[in-house]
Amino acid sequence: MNGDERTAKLERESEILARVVAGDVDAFEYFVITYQKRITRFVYTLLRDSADADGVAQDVFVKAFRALPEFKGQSAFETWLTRIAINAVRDHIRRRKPVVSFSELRANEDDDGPELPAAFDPADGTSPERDLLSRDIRRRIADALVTLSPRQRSVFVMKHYEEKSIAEIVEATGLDEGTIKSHLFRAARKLRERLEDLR
Amino acid sequence: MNITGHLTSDEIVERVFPGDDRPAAVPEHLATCVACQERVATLHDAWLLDRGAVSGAVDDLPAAFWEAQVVATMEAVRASVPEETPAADVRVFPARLRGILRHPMIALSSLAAALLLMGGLSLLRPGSTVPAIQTAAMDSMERTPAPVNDASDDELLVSIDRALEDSSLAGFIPEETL
Repeated sequence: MNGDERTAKLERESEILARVVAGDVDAFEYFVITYQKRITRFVYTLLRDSADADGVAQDVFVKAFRALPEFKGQSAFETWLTRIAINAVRDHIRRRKPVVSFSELRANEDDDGPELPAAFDPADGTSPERDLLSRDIRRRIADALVTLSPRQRSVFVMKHYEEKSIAEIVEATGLDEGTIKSHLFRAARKLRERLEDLR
Repeated sequence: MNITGHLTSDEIVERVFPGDDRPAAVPEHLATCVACQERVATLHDAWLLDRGAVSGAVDDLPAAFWEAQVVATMEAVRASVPEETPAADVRVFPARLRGILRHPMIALSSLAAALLLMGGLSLLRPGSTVPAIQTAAMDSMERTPAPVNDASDDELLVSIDRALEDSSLAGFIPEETL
């Protein structure tokens, strides 16, 4: 999206936001349709459970709707929504343990977690040994992720799964750059611990 | 780098998950060591595999799922609206009673008449439950007992009048109704 498109989108969203705040509840559907995939993917990456991700994603939009009068437009709506999603996931994790424990998944040798899309099928051009090793490491990455604190997990996922820059993560989380780098470092250390015996 | 010359686990992880926006510097050893290249590649592949899997699990969901999610979300959004509605629509009195508020004199006159009627009936019914306001009237009668057989209607009404004058409600009841 180039600069002009981004400006046009921001103006359009600002217009729709004004309508929603004025009482046109149905106009909020625009934001649900526009951001539902992005928010659901983000939440799913953090929680690794489809049912929970769906519920939390819906909750994010309801919370955003209720908090709209507080939205000052100082950041993009998407950034603001991401911040609400981070808080919603954190609250969800605090309320209950993840439904899918990756430790349990590891115990089930036949279960490799979410089905892989064709583009990521390890059987495509790699050896069976490499395939097995990749699947094992993938489990360990996922396992390490769920042991991170909700904030570390959010920062790590934004950086390495959503490919956000540090500046974008600063904006979305409200944390300073040093704290974010510290979270990334600790997350990487957890990963290293999980992968230690692979050397 | 450790004493064997190979990359440490931290260095391998840092290659795949850099903690900064800038790419991490490539250790000289990595350019020549096939074993370390393999370890970095394996971790990188695994991460791509995981990222692809979680993205794919969401992106491959059918359109019906997204439509259902929009419907469910908007239902929840609409359901949250009444909680946010200010007290403008709150009605303390039901609609059928609001007419009374527009004609307070009629209402108070009716109330006074009803109280008198209830008071009279209560006194004539032995053992019945007596409203608080009529208890005051009875107390007053006990202080000035009349001969049982000679209690006339006039004396009864005088007692009630006295009780009503003493009670806090008297100030609210128009004179003409007393």
